[in-house]
Amino acid sequence: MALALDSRTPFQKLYRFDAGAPWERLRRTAAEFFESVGVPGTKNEEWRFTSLREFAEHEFAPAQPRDWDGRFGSADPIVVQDALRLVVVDGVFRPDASSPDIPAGLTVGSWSQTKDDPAWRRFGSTVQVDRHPFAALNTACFSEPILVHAAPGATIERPIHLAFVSQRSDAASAVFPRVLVVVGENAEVKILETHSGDGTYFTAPVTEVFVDQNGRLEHTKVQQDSLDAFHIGHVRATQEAGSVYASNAVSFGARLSRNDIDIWLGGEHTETWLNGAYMAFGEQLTDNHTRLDHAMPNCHSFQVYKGILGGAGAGVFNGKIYVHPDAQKTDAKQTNKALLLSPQATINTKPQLEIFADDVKCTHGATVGQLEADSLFYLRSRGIGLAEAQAILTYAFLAEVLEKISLEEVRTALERVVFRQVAKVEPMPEE
Amino acid sequence: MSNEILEQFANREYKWGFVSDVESESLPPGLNEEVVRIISEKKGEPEWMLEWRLRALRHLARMQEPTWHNVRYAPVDLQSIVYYSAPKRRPKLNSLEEADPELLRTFEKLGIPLEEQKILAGVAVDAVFDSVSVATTFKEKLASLGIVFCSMSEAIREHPDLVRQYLGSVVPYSDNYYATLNSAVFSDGSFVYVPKGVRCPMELSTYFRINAENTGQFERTLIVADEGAYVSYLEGCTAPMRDENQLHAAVVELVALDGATIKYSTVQNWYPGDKDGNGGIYNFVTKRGRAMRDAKITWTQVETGSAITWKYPSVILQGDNSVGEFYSVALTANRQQADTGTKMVHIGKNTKSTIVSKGISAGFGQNTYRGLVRVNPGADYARNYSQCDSMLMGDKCGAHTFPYIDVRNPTAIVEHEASTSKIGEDQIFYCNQRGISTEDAVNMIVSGFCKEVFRELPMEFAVEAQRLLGVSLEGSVG
Repeated sequence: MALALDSRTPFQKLYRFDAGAPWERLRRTAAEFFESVGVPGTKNEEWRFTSLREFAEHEFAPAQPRDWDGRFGSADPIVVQDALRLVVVDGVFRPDASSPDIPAGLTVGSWSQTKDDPAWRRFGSTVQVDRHPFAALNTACFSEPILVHAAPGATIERPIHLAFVSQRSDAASAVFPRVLVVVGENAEVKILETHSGDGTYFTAPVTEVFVDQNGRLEHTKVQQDSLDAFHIGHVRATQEAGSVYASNAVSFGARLSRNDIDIWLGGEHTETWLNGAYMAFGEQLTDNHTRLDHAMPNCHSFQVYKGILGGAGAGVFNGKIYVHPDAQKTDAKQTNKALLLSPQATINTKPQLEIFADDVKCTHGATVGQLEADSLFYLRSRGIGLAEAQAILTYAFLAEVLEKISLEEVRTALERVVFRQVAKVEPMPEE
Repeated sequence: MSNEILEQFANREYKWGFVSDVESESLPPGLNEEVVRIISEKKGEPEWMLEWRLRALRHLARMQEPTWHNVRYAPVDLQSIVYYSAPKRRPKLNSLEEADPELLRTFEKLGIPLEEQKILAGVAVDAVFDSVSVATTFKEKLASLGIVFCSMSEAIREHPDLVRQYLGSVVPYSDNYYATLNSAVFSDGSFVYVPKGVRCPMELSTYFRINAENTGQFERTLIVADEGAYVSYLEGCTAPMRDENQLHAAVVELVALDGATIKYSTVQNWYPGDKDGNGGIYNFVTKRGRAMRDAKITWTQVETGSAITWKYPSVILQGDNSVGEFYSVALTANRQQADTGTKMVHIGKNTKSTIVSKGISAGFGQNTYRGLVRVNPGADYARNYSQCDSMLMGDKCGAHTFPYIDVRNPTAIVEHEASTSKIGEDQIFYCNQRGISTEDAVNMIVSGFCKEVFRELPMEFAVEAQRLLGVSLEGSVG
């Protein structure tokens, strides 16, 4: 179906207009917006340190549905034995590879499987496409969204694993995973979202999350995309009173990785955990943007982001905390730490507080540096070689964040990746 | 804190508002090549200076007014500003008696020790009254050490080689919109040169004063400390009450050559506008220093005035082992807005920088800290420590922090900390209980909050700054 507007972007052929779909209006608005702004340049404050020039040189074709060879593309696929697994390969949901037995109180599946679920009414209602060009692009291009809906009061013991896989193909392809998560009142859910693949591709996932009153959600997003891939993702979460949302964002893969997490605290007495771990080696660039809107009083947020940058790796961090005028008794803590392991590695970090209420406790801290000489000395005085001591400390630096992930198999798998990566790092010459 | 108290705070009156009635000789409002030529001609400037001004003016035509800052104000119409205004009767500089008596009374009201007190105070004052320097004291004593301390116009005439070598070397004429405007139309300012190995024996100070109505002031200050020299410079300002917004776009350049030290301290208390946000000064200032090997530059500022403050005193740490420091207290009350901070650019090896910023917001005030710490690839073992604390009084004000940290060297250590707090009722209660009035308690707590900055100020200024903060907080009981 032809587009009624003049396309300035090479993404036009990826738009999926379909007059019958319930989200047709969302799609059109989003496409129009994306066409009006295009791929953001570094003059845009939000993209100041993340140049998309190389990305924009690629022309991405819609992913073609193909057979799946059963591989996850990553050298370290994360397998959680008792998880309920939903697999999406090259943008297509694979019921054959997904777990069939769904516990009571839980609805999971693709749109076509779950379209009667009332949770779909919330779809797309909170994603701010005008603030996130790639969320707009996702909205214009996603194929079939996935739903995870826990009914009020349901405690889902088994973790839900959403695996997004991109297979190697001749032409660089684009996929637009779209997930809606609704955690009902007093419900509790753990979600693992993994992204992995082979070859050159572009993925722009959007996950929209609602945690209703007193609901609890642990959302672990692990990005282990191919080192030739571009990953530009967005998570939008809305928390109601008394809810707990823990986000663990792990970015180890992709040539260029950008993760935007926006959280709206719409009720009192909420608790939010934002844990982030990232590594960028070789030519990788990893960009994490978070935004926390303390719109209501008495909410607590705790954020820790840590990154390791080696080779010519580049790290970007921007953590915004907005304390709205009536959000008294807000308690917000933010920490961002980065380790630079090589002369070519860079970090651009910008913790940002905007406070419009007086009775609040807000702190942020950011450090950039290298391993502590004292700690290295301590290990070496016990007979551990320099390279090994550096590897141990580097690993420990990131492990502090990974420890927050409650799923043990995920934690162990990630720790293995970190350890292998840091063991490869050339030891820094001593002072 | 109760609302009533905060209202009192918000309604504080500007204590320094008076207008002195000196006839001014002014150009009609407007900005064009003709105006720049007239300014240059009136000052008897050499050809190269005029050329430089015109280059800046032509560059300005290609620039856009910046919009990235976190302050809101009515747009500035450069064509409605008077670019030159000089007191009509220009006294000769060798004697104060020749100066306009009205002018002298103004200085007295401001407390500038131009009379007998000047010796006691030990302060050499180069007073800029509107745009033209009318009195320079202590010149001879400084001259005996080879120190040059004079107005910029005089320096352009008397020391053209020094000015030509350093003017625009830290803030080029193309630097930013308001610095470019300043380069085209700067009226006057101060020039300091301290020769090799000389320690300037007194604090140099300049009182700026915006006076004639509708006159934007465009000071240009240049301080050069030659190898191993030391100089401490104080800048303080008060201004009369005005209804119309006045633009102030100054440029300050500091050059600290190898082993030199420059301390630059500012107390800024320009008219902030009334409690509804009418009037007040727009303070858009570019301040930057370049520190060569083993040099040190310290910026200390106490910002309590102006409707809009937009300034980032910065240090380019170019030489190895150079040191940059920034200590700031910024108070915004009523409808005041401040977007201020610093940039520390580490280029040399073993360079160190310290940033301590204290923001106090009250009423509808909006206070923003914006800073940049950049460590370039060659800046091995660079070290930075930044701390920015905000204090909020009332629920209608705002405190914002935008610290940029860009590091391109693995041996660098950069630390940034920020916190936000309010004056707790328990703190006030504790003081009350011990017989300290609520007002004194607030003063004490705020003074304590700002202590780290005040102790960096020279003695005379520290007293003035404390007093200023005390006055600003008058009536804010609780």
